[in-house]
Amino acid sequence: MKARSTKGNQSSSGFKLSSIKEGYWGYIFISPWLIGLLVLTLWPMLQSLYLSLTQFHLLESPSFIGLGNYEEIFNSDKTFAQSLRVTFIYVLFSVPLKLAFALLVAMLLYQSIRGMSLFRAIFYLPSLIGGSVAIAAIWRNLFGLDGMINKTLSLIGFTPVDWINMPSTSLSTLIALSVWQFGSAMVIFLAGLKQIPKDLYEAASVDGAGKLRIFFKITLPLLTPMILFNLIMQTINSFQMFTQAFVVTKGGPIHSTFVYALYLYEKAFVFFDMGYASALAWILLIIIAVFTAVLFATSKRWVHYEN
Amino acid sequence: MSKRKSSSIKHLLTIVTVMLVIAMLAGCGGNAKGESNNGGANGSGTVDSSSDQIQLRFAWWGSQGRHDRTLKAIELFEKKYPHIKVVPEYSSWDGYWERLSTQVAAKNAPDVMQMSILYIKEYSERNVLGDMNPYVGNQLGIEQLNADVVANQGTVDGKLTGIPAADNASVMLINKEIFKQAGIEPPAIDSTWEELFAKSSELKAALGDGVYGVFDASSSLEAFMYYLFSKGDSLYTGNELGYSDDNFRAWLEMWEQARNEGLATPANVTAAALPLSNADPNKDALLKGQVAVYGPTWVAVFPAYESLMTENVDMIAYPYAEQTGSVLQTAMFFSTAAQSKHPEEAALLIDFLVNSEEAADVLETERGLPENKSIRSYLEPKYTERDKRMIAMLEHVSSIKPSMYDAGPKGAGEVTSLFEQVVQKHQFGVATIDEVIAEFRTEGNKIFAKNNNE
Repeated sequence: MKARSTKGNQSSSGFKLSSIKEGYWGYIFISPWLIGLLVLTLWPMLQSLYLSLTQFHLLESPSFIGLGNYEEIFNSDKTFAQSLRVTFIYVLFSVPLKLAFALLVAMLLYQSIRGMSLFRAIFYLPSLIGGSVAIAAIWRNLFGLDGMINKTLSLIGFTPVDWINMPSTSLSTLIALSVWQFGSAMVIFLAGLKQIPKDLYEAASVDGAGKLRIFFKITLPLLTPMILFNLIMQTINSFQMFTQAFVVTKGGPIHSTFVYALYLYEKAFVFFDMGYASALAWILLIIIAVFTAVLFATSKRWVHYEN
Repeated sequence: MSKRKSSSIKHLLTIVTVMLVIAMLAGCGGNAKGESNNGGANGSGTVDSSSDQIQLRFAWWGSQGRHDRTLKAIELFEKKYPHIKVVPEYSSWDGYWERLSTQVAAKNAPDVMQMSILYIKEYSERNVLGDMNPYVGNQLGIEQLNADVVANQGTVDGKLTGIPAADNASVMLINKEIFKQAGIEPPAIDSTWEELFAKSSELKAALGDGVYGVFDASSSLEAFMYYLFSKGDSLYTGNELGYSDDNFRAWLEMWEQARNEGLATPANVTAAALPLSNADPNKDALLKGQVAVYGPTWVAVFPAYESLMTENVDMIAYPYAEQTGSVLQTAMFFSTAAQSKHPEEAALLIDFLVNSEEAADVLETERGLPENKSIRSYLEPKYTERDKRMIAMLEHVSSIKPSMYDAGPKGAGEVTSLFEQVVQKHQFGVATIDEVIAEFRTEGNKIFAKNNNE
């Protein structure tokens, strides 16, 4: 910064002036967003950081207790441990499965067949409403004891399974729901596929490479920037998963789908323990930040940029 | 020349930008204000028009039917007291408490609010609710109300914070259709758990699998509380969990045996129907014809079932042991905010809702059987068949020496959900009875200690 300003002095003072002016204009133009960020995001975040250090029942005033909430969370909160366990399992399975599925569908939709744009629209459509309560409610009915899935299964001779209300299958049901919401990742993969130069494929097939080999040696490496992007976005989203668990399973049975965001919500808006909930929120923020940082750090090893 | 032109454009842009930002901020401010004062009901324009008119905010939860009736009662009140304008804020049960607690935190609680037995103690102890004692006999009459209820449930720490609006009692619901199909007499109005399980066993013999005699209520803290009452024990002692562990063990063993013999719903069916009494035909095991005896729930929810099941639904008392497990409870209270600027007018509104025949004409029994004795006899000619069944049940419970519902110390809501979680582990067979007994007591008392440490 310092070096740059001395350089500016050397060349001409007029240049410096106009660059400040330009900055000032920039800030004016982004002021609606900037004010939003400061007032609606940054300020509440700082507030919640302070509140996380207090005991604050919503009906009373906060009283400062230092790191008391954090100590309780890490030392004796079994529900915290359980919700963290559920969330990790969810992220660990739903993200890779969803990306693999999204890539598979993207490859299919990359083919040039007549009416392909229609197919693309049809496959993307569910994602527009994917995170909604309505889809979650439909999922609940599909996988219910008298739902479509069980009806179909019993037609081919299987005994019905109570997918949603058995602890052994409830989380898998939610993971399946998340995999099914592959649309946004799929679209990004599709865009990535279109950017891969066709001559690479031609050269490879002339050299006698098989389809699998082409996929692993050309398609996948050239898609890695898209994979990184999707991986990070989906990881962040999955850590914050709420709607599906809230609507489909309510976190049950026996907390088998009690994801972190649901626990946070319950503490904050059912029991009104805002100080504790704020501490939970900051822990989640740090967990997500660490995961994102690790993904970025390892990306140097496996992400290939063309130049 | 061109420089000048561009600078004048810049000026114009500055002005436009600043105006836009101001407009945006003004828009935000106006919105927030409108929302907090209005609750999406009719306009706030009247506030400015006549400065001597007092504005009173009144919040309640309920269904559309209750909203319509209450709005009509408000109209009548405003006609009677033209200097008071009532601003209604209403929602369903779920949204109500989130919204109310947020308003309390923002020091913006409504002047008059509908209050539940579950929360009145907590809201009173946290100094949210106003003491109405100074207005009794002036703006507010309580002579027609049940003095016991006013003294025990409406008064917390010597402050009269809740005026009881309607009576309620805990009951079990039965699906008569199932008993008819099996050709078995439905259980008597006062039965023991053993008798209910015996009926369940007869049903199983007659109807086979797919129908369960009794809904597994073991994970409901309310059900356990009533069971303790029936054994002469109590759930709470001071700000801690009370009861003897032997009773808890007997409770869990009773249900374990019933599940093993197929007399109560298996864990997954129970989980699907929780929480109890949500009256959702898709989830409700009683409505689906999946269970014959379901509960505990309240007399006040009977209309919701009756409207869907007509004569196929009936009420019996919560099972007795040494005494009945059914409890009496106030269905709801009207409370004022401690910080209300118009406590006298607030008391006047509550008086109108609880004591006046004009209000009773439109409110009828929608909030339950009116607590006010003279209103009860005033409404008698209007009672429907359904009202009469509810009254008969309330009178029956009153006559068998019921206990009084105990909302528990601060933190009881969290303990209720803890109980559900811990006992559910036993239902699914992943925790032993000893583990459940130990875990609930330690974790439950931890929650109470945290909430009552001042």
